[in-house]
Amino acid sequence: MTWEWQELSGNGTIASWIVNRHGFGGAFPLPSTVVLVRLAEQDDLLLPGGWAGSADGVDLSVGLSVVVGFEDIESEGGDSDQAVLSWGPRHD
Amino acid sequence: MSGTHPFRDRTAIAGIGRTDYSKNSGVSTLTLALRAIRAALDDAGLATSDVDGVACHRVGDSVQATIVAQSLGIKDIRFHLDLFGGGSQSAWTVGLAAQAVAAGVADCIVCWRSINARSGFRMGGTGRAAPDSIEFQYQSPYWLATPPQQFAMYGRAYMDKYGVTAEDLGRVAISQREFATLNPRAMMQAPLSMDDYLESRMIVEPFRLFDCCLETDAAVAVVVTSTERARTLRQRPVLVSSAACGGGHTLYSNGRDDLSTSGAAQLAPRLFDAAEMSPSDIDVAELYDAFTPLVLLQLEDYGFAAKGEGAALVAAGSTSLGGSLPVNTHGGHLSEGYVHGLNHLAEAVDQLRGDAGPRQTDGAEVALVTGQPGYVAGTSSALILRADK
Repeated sequence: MTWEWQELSGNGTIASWIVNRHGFGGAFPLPSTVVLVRLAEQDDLLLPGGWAGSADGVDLSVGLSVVVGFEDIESEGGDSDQAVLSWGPRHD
Repeated sequence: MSGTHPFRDRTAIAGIGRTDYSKNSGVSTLTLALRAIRAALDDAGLATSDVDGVACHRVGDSVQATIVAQSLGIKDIRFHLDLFGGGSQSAWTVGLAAQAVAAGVADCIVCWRSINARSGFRMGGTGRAAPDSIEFQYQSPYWLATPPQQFAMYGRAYMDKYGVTAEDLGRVAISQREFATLNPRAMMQAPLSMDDYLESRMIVEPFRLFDCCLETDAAVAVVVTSTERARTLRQRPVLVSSAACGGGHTLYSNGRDDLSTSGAAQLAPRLFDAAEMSPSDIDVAELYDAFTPLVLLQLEDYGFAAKGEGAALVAAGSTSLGGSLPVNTHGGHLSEGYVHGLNHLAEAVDQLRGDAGPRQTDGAEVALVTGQPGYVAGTSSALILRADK
C-alpha cells in the first residue's frame, strides 16, 4: 500500500456546517463556523474547514458552491509554516 | 414460529445492576464497575464465583476488562473482551458476549460500561490528547473536537434534507423528560416545556443545551448466560433474540454520500431477520440518544417510519408514555444519564420484566436496544430482546 498526493480542483459544495456558541475549552472566537465540504471530485469525500464568510454562518446553505482558500497559521513552535483550509463562496 | 437462526433466543440477560448516577462519583472506574457487577449478580442470584467471562467497551477512559476480572477473583477466565469504542459498540459488547455463551466458550459473562464521564474523562473533551483517531487531524485545526460539534454537523444535514425543525428536536427532549420524571434514578427530574427547550442556550448550532445528553459518573452491568441456565435463576429471563453490528459514517472518506441516513439502515434488516421479527413486533425501543436527532433518524432507519417521517411519529405522541412505541422510557441519555448505551439495555430489561413501575409499557414483550447509529465512529450495533414466555 502506498499513499500518493493527488491535486484537486479546490471546488466543492457545502454538505453541512456548525456554528460554535460554546467554547468547549478552546481558544477560538465565538461565534465561529466550521463547514463540511463535499469535494467536487467525489461525492463521498467530505472535508471540514474554516469559513471565510460570516462568523455566524448566516450566508451558508447546503449545496452552496465553495472554493478553498488557505490561511497561514502560527504553529506551536512559532513557525509560520502551517496552513489551514478556509472555504469561501465560489462565483462561477 | 420455530427458531431457525442458530443464535436466536439461545442466551439471556439474567441480571442487571447500576451504580448511583452522579456528576462526581468520588471513586475509580474500577470501583464503579465492581459495584454495578455485584448488583447485577445479586439481581440474578449469582455469585462472583459463577462468572467466567468479562466484557466492556471503552475509549481509553476506563479500567481494563482483565483488571476487573482479577478484582472479581476469577481464576479461570474463559472469555474477555475489551472493545474499543463508545456508544456505537454498546450493543455489540453484549452481542459478542451472548455469541460466546451460545458457542459454549463461556457460561456466565458480565458486561458493563463504567465511566466518570463528568468528573474524570469528559467525552472528546478538553484537557487531554486527541483520541487515537485518524480523522482528528482533519478536525482539530478547526476546533472541531467534541461530540456536540461532530453530531451537530450530521444533525444539520439531516434537518436540512427533511425539513426537521427545532420544535421537532424539542419534542424528543420533552417526551424523554416526561419519562424521566417517572424515574427516580434520572438526573433530570424537572418537567421540560417547549419554551424551556427553545430558550435553552445554543451550544453549537443547530443544537441547544437540551439537544445534548448529560455527562454522568456511573456504571451499569448485565449478566449474560444461557437461556437454559437463566431459567433456573432469580429473575424472569430476557432473551437475546438477535444482535447485529454494522458500518456507518466516518468523517471523511466513508463510502457514503448521504449524511442523513445512518449506518443503522443497513444493519436493521439483518437484525430483524435474525430475530424473525419485523419493526411492528417491537413494543418498546431504547434508542441511543447522545443528541436529539439520533432518535428521529433511528425511528426511520429501523423502519418505524418512512425517511423524514420520524418527527411526525414523535409529534403524534407515538413514542411517549402510553404511545404505540414508547422510546427511551428511562429518559435516555438526555435525561436519565449517560452510561454509554448500557443504561438503555438495563431499562429494556426492566421493561420486559415488568419492573419499570410508573413508566412501564403495558404488555411489553419485545424491545429494541440500539447503539449509536453509526456516526463519527463508523460502526453501529443493536439488540432485539424479548421476555421469556
